[in-house]
Amino acid sequence: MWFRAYHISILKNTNIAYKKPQERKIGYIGSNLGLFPHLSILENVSYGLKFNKGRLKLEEIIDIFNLKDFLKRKPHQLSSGQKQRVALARTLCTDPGIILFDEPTSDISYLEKPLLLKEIKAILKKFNYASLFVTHDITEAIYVADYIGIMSDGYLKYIQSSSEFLISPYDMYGAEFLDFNILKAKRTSIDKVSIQDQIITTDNLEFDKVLCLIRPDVIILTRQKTNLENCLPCEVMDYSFNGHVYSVYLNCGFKLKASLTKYYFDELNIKIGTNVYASFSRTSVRILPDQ
Amino acid sequence: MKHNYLSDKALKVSFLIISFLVIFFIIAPLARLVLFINLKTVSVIEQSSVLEAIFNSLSLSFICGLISIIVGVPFAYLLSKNFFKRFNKFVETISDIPISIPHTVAGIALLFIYGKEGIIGSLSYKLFKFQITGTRIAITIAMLFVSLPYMVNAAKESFKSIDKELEKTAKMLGASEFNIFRDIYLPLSKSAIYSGFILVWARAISEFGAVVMLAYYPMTAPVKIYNAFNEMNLETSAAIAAYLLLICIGFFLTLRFLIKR
Repeated sequence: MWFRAYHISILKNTNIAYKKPQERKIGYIGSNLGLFPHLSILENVSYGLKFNKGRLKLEEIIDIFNLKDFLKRKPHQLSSGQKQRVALARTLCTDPGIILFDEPTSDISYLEKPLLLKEIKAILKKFNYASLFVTHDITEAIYVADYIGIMSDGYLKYIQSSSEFLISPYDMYGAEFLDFNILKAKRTSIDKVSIQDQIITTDNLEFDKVLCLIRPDVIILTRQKTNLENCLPCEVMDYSFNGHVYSVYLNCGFKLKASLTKYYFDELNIKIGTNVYASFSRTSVRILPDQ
Repeated sequence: MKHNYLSDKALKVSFLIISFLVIFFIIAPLARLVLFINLKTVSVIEQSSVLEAIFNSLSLSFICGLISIIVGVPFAYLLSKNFFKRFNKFVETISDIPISIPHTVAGIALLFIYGKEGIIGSLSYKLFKFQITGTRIAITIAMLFVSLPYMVNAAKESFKSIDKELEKTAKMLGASEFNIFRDIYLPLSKSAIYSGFILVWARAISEFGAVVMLAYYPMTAPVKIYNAFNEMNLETSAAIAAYLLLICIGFFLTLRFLIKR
């Protein structure tokens, strides 16, 4: 018996699944950008115009991307940021229905990245181009994306607007990506849960068994008790420093991770075994039902 | 610390000695050969049969090089694209066979196709009253048979080495396969095809075994040298050989120089 799979991919009201790649009108920018090494920048940018009619004029695009001074150069004479612009300019020339970025920033320096990503986003927004940006780096996704999706084993496991994703992921899968504290808890009253033996005050609860999600950077560490709704005495188990913030691993009867700027870390004089108070407001605790 | 390596210096010195031996191995016989052009033999080049033989060698090997580009590059393109799927390795091996068989074997094998009794030879004789063997066409066929693999391999390796991302990108920009071949694969493989051409040309000019089986006349330079070796004295044949050597080196260096630019 024969089965036939019918693939449907809709782009601008047409099914492109059975179209040739050339006719799909998808802009593609791969990890090494695919600039043609033997062609000049001008020839690179205008290459797609041989086969497509663009919405923007070539001169406009050269203007937008500030490429006037490099038109006669070859790609190897450009910096990686400039190459990136050429690749995007070339793609926009063909007026694609959607642009696929496949890890395009892999060889861009750490310092250049945020600026370039911001620029890419601004240009895409200005001309209203939809794009799909594939990356391994969650911070990069947060920089560029309006919506963030998480792929795993070939499936889209999670999707949410990036502003909501940062504050309240809707399941454990998303929360793990943002390094939230994920705590299993039981409801004890309308706005209180117990975790191990500790009681935490939260917003009003709808479920008996819940997961509490707490961002590590909403937790305040102090030597004295605070008057926030939740103030737990705990002991420092371990800490690490990534160059920007300290991550402090605490034991308050359950494990809790807090992040700290260097100033507060030094101020508190934190060492392994130090006793501190971890405080956070009730509104910074996100609740998910625990299935 | 005990170790069984050569010291860095000892390694360089011993490899240098070996390299000098290799250079000597190549240069010594050739240099000695050139000395055969002396007052007594300098005039062999003026014999019309010698001049004609050298001209045949140069022109036919050049034509052979051009044909190898026309037929070798498209074939190499399909091979590099894995066009023959699971038979691709098999087809690649077939295209390499002429390199690995003795050239006299190649010559005899060709004789059974292009000779009077052969499929193509007899057909051409019946249709056009044209006998292939013993003509310049036969010489070119023999040269092409033994040298074509060099073009196919050079172009194939170059096509394979081109970043697949370029092709993907070009496709997404709307380029057809023909455009991709013309705008990306060909220009990026230009120098590889050119050096393939030089290899083919050099291999074709030096071919003796297959050529002599298919066409003793008109003579190419290697056949003429063999002929002089048999019928005249060693000195005359050595002088012709020396001339051929100098001409070949001249061409080779010129082409090498051109490719560098």
